[in-house]
Amino acid sequence: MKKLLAFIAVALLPLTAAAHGPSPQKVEKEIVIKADPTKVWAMVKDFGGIHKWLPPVASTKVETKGDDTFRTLTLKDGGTILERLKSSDDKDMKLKYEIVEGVLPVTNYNATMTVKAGPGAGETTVVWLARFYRMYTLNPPIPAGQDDESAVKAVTGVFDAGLPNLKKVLEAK
Amino acid sequence: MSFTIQSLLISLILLANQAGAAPFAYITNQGSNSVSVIDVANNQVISTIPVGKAPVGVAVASSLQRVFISNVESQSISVINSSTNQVTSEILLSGSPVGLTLSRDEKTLYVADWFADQVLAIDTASNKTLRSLAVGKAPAGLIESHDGQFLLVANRDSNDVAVINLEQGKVVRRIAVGQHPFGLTLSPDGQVLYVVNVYGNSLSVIDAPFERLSATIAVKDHPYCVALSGDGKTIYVTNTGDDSVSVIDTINRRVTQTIAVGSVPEGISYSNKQIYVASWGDNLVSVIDTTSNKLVASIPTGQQSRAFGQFIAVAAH
Repeated sequence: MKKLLAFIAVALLPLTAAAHGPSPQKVEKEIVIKADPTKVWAMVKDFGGIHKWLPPVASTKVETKGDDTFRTLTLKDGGTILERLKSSDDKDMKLKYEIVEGVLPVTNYNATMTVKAGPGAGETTVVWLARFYRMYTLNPPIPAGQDDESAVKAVTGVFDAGLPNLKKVLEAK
Repeated sequence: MSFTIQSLLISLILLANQAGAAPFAYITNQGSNSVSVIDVANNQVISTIPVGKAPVGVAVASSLQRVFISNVESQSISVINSSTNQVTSEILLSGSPVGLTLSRDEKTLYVADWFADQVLAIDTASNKTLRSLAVGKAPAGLIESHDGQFLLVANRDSNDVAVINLEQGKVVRRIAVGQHPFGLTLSPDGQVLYVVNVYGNSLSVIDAPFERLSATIAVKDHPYCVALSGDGKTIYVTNTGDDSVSVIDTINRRVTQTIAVGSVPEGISYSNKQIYVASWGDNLVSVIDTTSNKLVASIPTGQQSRAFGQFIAVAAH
């Protein structure tokens, strides 16, 4: 726990001190799942259970610090991502979280997962929206792998791996 | 004699028409590299204008019939003729323009240059850069005081507001505000400056003559921009992380309600008892009626609408 807190403290430093580029990037994906919205929402809002449906994640560890809830995702390739839960709204079925520190080539990453009934009877739509900036936060020239394109590609990869599998896991239940 | 009176009458009628005509909202769409023009009389998009790459800032020069758009990724300003809704010229810059504002006489366009930590003054008659002035780090929102004495600039990464004395051409003071100030505006009477602190989740209040912080009002997650109702009684702040607009009473300086709008709301402006909010997440503009404080319309625009700055012409003053 102490180690995690030290990690959080260090990780927060660049977040508050660094500038970022002027254009936020966006990745938005959605999927229709043949399952009841309450069932879908239960899986989406399970902050410590994302490894159950996001294939690159091997395990999830949840820890709290004061009012804040954090999760550390350990990826199958060994990398980690530390995220903070921002809100979980049962009425609107909306989950919001941010990345504190991790292996994705992004900064100031905020995401929302929204669960809605429809479009058809017995169907549920999940929308996953992320807003973030590229890793390189200074003036161009931008080093390879730290530009907008690399950031968008990495996040798109996660979403494209996650949503079809979320559908598969829920429809198999 | 009668001819002179007739001319005068015609002039007066023309003036009245100009003042009474419903204005337009100019919405920058970062992902579509375009500007959506909304007629606020009927809340319809009447034109979509291609501009430069990743447009963000807007400044409306109603007397000049021009609209200025900052294209941060193509390092330029698009100049739109608002009577034809066409781009008439592009001002190329070496920096990264974000925030835009005009002097009250519309003779000067001020540009916040994000990476170069400076403000540029561009002559609107020639489109030439007249001068540049170093401010703080990552300048974002900026506005001229109503008396034309000061230019007020939010320095996002310095956590302060630079007060530039325009006659002296220098920063006369810097006022510490909350963390990461971004959008700002003045009350309709010009007596109060409101600055939004993105990381501070708050609104800083600075009363004229802009010497010190007067108050700080807590709002929701990652607020971005601010606008006031026409009577100056109500403040509206977009909360990008909360998909909402905080409504604040200017007398008590307290939040009275929070209105859900399109996701990731950024730019906000007031016109004719309506508040217009650009939704970056949902690619639309949310419209709030200021008499009921209810969401009354959602107008589809383009990808990643931002509309940073005063994007609707201010009513005749």
